[in-house]
Amino acid sequence: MSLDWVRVVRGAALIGWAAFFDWLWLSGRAGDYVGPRTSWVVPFGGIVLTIASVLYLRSVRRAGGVSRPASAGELLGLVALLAPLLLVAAAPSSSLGALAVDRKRSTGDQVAAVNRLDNTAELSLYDIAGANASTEYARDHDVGPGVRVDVDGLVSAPLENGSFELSRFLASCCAADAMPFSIRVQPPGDAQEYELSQWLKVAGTLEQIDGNLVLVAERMEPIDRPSNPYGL
Amino acid sequence: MSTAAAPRRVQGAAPPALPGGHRPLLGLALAAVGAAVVLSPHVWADAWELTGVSADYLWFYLSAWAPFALLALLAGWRGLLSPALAAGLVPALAVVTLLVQATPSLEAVAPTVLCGAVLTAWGADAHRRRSRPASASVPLALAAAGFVVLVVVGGRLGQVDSVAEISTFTVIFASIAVEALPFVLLGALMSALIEVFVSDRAFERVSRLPLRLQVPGLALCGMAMPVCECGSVPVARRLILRGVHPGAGVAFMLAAPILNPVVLFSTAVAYSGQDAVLMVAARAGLGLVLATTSGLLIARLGAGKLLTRPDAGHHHHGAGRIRRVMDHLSSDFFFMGKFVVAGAALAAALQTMVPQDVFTGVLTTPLVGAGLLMVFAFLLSLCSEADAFVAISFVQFPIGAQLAFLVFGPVLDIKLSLLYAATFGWAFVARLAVITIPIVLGGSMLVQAVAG
Repeated sequence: MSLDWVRVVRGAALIGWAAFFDWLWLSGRAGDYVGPRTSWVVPFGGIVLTIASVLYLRSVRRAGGVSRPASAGELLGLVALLAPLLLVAAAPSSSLGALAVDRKRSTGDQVAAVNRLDNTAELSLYDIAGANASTEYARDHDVGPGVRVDVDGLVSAPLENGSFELSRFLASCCAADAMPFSIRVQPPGDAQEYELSQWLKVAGTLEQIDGNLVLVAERMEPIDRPSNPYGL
Repeated sequence: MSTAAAPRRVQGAAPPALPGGHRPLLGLALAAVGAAVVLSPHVWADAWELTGVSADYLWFYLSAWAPFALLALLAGWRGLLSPALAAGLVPALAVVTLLVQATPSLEAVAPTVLCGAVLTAWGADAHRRRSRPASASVPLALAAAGFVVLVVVGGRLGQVDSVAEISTFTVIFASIAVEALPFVLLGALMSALIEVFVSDRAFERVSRLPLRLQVPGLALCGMAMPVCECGSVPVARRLILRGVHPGAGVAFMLAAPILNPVVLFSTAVAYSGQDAVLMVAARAGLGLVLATTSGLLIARLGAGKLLTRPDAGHHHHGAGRIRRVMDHLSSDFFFMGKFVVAGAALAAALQTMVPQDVFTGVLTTPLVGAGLLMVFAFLLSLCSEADAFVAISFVQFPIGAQLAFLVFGPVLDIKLSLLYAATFGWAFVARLAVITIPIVLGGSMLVQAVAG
């Protein structure tokens, strides 16, 4: 069979992207890149790219004996198109971490974002950050001193007196627009130090310290990164 | 008269890659560069400096060096790979090797993959040299080397020297690509369907309309096209190729990502409970005005040869419809996709290196705030179908500034600039910026005045 090599290479690039989308979909790692609201893009992309790959590869046989070698521009374009896949394969598997919290820290209104969570479950880290930003939010959601909470998040910065900052991201679209929410955690006296970006499950009581709600931890344990690091 | 004729090169035969006596030198150079790359973390990485060079790591050093050794064998001692292509592969191998050295789980796999890449490059090079004598390796090598220099210099300037930076960049880079590419494919599919299934007569009817009707008409058609900004470019390009006036094509391209029902619905959802009606109406209204005005002005300024690449696809017009659809789809997808990926890389690099609080916390007055959020929209390169959820988080900015973010982002951002430049040329990008910036600023001020 005589093959059109340009089509073979292009087909391989399509298969590469289709496989990546399918892997994200089936492995449950889509949450590392997209937020819950747009997670449908991953199965959608997986299906359409797979169909496109299959249909395209049906035409890899050379038509009419015409042989067209790939130009340098085409090869470079294909390399550029596959660059994200190469990087994802080469870099450690991760979601946004402490560095991203630092870079994305802004004065954006966290209350407005939290209000759109439609969170009817138990109190989350987002609620505590929202309560720190707005007394009205704290009152409406019964977030205040003495309330017991059980939250998870990643260690994003060391703070004074042995305390540290615990953060989570909230993404509307994807990791590019993810917004960090942070609270201060005062660990128990015998607690070990954790590395930046380590995910923790922290249980304790909220206390008002220096005008802010601080989570005074009674129990802390390291956990794996959740499948939905940018949402509830 | 001498009868000794110079040996004539046979058409299609591979040109001599390198004089035989120089091959060992090239091989030695490639092998030495590989060794330097593999051992270099001992100089610049803190963890490696502490452990020092050790015979205990000999197997690791050898396996990481294997792709370079293979390259040296193929290009140097055996002369089976052109020196230019070998030189282009070296920086690519170096970058991947250095990235992988920070990823223990990939240490074992990467050398095998890289050896496969070298062999593939050799196969592709041999195929190319058999098919066409003209060398494409030099620009390929130069571009690859230039890319690596940019990455290294940019990384050093931005102090991207740790796993955290690379990891953050990768997550944001891949996330933008994952969000955008399905829509690029969808846009390419619609473009291909238009090309194959819509008759010339339909386009003739549209192109016969007076420009004053054609431009707003095509802009309004954007309401019926559920494609975001990445998808609207190939559709607009196809419309122009089929005879629609370039000004009208541009109007469609700018309107579709703002006026389409999915975008307006997401805007309504994001702003539900606060100014949803105002924001949806203002976004649609300002978007329509922007698209129509831009289309008319670009038409008036002369848009005769707007497309930089009339149609680079390699299509078989006698082939079946499915094959023709796939030909056009792939041509548009690969053409647009690489620029979307390049834009995603730039946006990710900015987000990784530049703290966002540089842009906020000050200057939140309506006019300056609108300008600031337009810069933000340009840099973030978000999809128009989800940007409202980001805009709503900028509550310290007035509503007019948020509107500027929502209207400007889908029209001009980093990835779109590259896409427009590839499709219409850089002059078009500059012209579009000159037209759109005052309209968006003026419109957002007007809405701010109305909203109070």
